[in-house]
Amino acid sequence: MKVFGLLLSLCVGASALGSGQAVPGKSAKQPFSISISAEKTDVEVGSPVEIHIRLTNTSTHEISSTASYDGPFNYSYQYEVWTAKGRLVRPKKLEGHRIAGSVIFGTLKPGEAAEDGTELAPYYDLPPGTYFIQVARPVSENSAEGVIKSNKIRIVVTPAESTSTPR
Amino acid sequence: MRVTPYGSVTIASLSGCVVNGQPMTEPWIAYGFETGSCSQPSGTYGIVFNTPTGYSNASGGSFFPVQLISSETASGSYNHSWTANLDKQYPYGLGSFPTSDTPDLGLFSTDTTVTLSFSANMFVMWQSSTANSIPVPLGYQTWGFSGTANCSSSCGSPSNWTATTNGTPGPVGNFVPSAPSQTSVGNNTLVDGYPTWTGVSQ
Repeated sequence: MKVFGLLLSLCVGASALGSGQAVPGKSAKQPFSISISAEKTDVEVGSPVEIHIRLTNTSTHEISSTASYDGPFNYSYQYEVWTAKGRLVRPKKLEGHRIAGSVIFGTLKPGEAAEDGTELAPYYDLPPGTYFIQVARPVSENSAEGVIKSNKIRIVVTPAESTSTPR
Repeated sequence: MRVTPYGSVTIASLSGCVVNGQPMTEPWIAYGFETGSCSQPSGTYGIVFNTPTGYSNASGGSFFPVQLISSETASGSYNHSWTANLDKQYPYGLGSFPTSDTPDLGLFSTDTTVTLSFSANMFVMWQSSTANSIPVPLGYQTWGFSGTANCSSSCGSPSNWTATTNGTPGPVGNFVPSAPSQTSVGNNTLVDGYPTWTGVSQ
């Protein structure tokens, strides 16, 4: 289920997603860590850009692993996508977007990890080229606590293969 | 597989939703209960799929969920049908049992009546810990719900919406063990009992 739209604008709020790990918050120890990887590092233009997200509870207390989806897009995370030249790729403007998805509630005990995922293609126009992607998750509902960022990954969007078959 | 349904459709109001840079204040229709922040709500699941029991699993390995949406339609002042396909990703959700689902749909201030009807098949897969093994489908649970959201005025405010649950939401029938001869369930196609899809439902 789904339609497009919303969230990526969340990224706008996450504009602090620079390189590195930490956050605007003041907490000395991060309550969780995020590690991402690409399902495929070479993706044909227009094909799904699937990102695996591993959320690990590094705190001494239970944390939320709840994920909210708009279709296959997981908007519990904030996203930043850069070109190889370091230009930030803005999400598509999706007029009249209606969110249709679901929530998967979950918690992680200290030391536990959960595998999650997201699909970026419906929300970003990514013409052929090299891109760097980083995700972040708010520490809590209190935005003052900032976000925790993942590693950055690199994907290459390749031109569409010709559909004609030489005889 | 034991499932725990919530049992009703509700109207949700979530904070902090941003759409294309603009705050989104519209309400939602949801199977289950959602409250709090838009990106990380709290509440109560629509349905929980508990950890499979009755399997010895003596050789190790793990169980994981895969969900196929069989049908999903919105009707009324908003009409849309989603494709029968994979729900979100493979494996489903956080990749292990127990897992849950709380489907939702945003309501616009221009809406007056929206009925959301949903049917899905949650598969239990088992993956041996033996190197180079492939996952095996053990069975599936069909489930679904239907609910209607109504509003007569000032429909941008969640408090002006009411939700009605149609029929009996939750599991449909019992857990069905996978059989190689089965080729379909609902609108989903099976091959040798395996769930198949051509893309992600959207």
